[in-house]
Amino acid sequence: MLGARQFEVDPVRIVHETIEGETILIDLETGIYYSLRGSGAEIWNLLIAGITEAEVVAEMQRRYGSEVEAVAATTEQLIEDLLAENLLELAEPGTEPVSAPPRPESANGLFEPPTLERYTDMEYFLLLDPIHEVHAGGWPQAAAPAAGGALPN
Amino acid sequence: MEPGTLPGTACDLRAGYGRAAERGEEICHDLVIGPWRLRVMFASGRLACALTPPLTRLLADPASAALATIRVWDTASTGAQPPPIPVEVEGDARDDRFRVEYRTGSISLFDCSARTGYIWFADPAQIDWYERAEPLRPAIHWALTTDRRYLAHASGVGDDRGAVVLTGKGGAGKTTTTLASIDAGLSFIGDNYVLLSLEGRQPVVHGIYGNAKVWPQTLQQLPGLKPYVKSWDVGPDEKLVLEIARHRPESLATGLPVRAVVVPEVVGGGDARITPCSPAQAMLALAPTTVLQLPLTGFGLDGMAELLRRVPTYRLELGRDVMGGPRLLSTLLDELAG
Repeated sequence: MLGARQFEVDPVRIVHETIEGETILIDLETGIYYSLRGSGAEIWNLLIAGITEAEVVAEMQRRYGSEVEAVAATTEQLIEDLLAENLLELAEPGTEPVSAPPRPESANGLFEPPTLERYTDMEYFLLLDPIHEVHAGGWPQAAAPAAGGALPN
Repeated sequence: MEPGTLPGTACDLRAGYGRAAERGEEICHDLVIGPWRLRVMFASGRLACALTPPLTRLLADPASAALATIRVWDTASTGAQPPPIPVEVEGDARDDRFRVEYRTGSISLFDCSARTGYIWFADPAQIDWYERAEPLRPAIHWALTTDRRYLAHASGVGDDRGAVVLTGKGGAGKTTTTLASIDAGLSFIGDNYVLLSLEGRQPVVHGIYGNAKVWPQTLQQLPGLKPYVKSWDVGPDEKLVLEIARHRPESLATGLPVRAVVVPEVVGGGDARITPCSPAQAMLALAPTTVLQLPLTGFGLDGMAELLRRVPTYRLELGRDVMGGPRLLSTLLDELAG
């Protein structure tokens, strides 16, 4: 059920940057990092502007009016995924929002469902000092493929 | 000051350095990195001997005002008592003023207000191999990093056409491509960590350490580099350290304009191939590996994003021939320098 929840990011734990329509997020506590693609970056930037989830969904529906139901469903799911990964936290109700970011100029007008990819291949940096590995057989054999995969949304 | 707090730890480290330096063996060097100068003071000659070889390319006599001063001391060679902090503690901590990294047998702390760093080791003989290979890394990082320049987990090669910055997580092929590039005639800026500056009209890459670290197997592909190995007597979990600055000083370069950021990937077969990639893909290669290894800057990812917006980004597939990558990088520099 959509409501008046507002969100914020813990700036000590999560660093993030949006570049060319994709947002990279890094959890400094767990070493897990993420890539938000499709409309994910656009939704993310609305969420961290501090407007309510209902307003985020409404804004996305306004921007992509032809796919109202799909926009609502995927946006709501993305919010739940971001909360589950502790990338977003609930803000105090009534937090004053900053102005919502405009639709990116690069947006092509078609709604692309958001995807949140999760990468766990660097967690070990938080456990060990850096010792980098190629495959034990050495060059040119690749190390094991990076762990990670798209979360359902 | 309460022991264990950040101000208390700073106070203890400062006092400990003072006691360690009373022996009269204090050695002072400046590290010159581009237009910036860091003053490093070692309380004992033994410690200086253990830590300065990878920094030789940067060493200069103390001169004009330094950006920061880093004081380094140890207990074993000076007899100065360690700071009253359990040496087993590991982790990082920060507040608005201090950055600190605790490791077994060492503490690194930087006071951002005083622009002073302190590093303590229990014993120079017990410093980890990777710390010896890339000494003072946390303090150099904290002293140099601003929102317009930062250490990056990346390598750099180039020549008078400019530089290519290679980035990606461990195992991506940065070091092997960097070393092969030396054999191909490009100059060595740095491996593993370089300083990137956005302060000028063009992003610039500066070298820090004069060495590279490789697994022994890598040298089967690059046998010409075997004479540069510092020591073959290494443990099973240790890499070999190649002393590039010592053995190939003519191949060193620094302060070159960045023409491209390249993300290598070992594909293990076929020919090397280079194709444009999105700045976001390059960001995914550069940012996590950098901030997870060089934490506590207090800055976000803006500087990395700016670099990737200002220069073109590529993906380099490394095939069977180890020299294929360097050939493509040289061709790329030809195209981009024009």
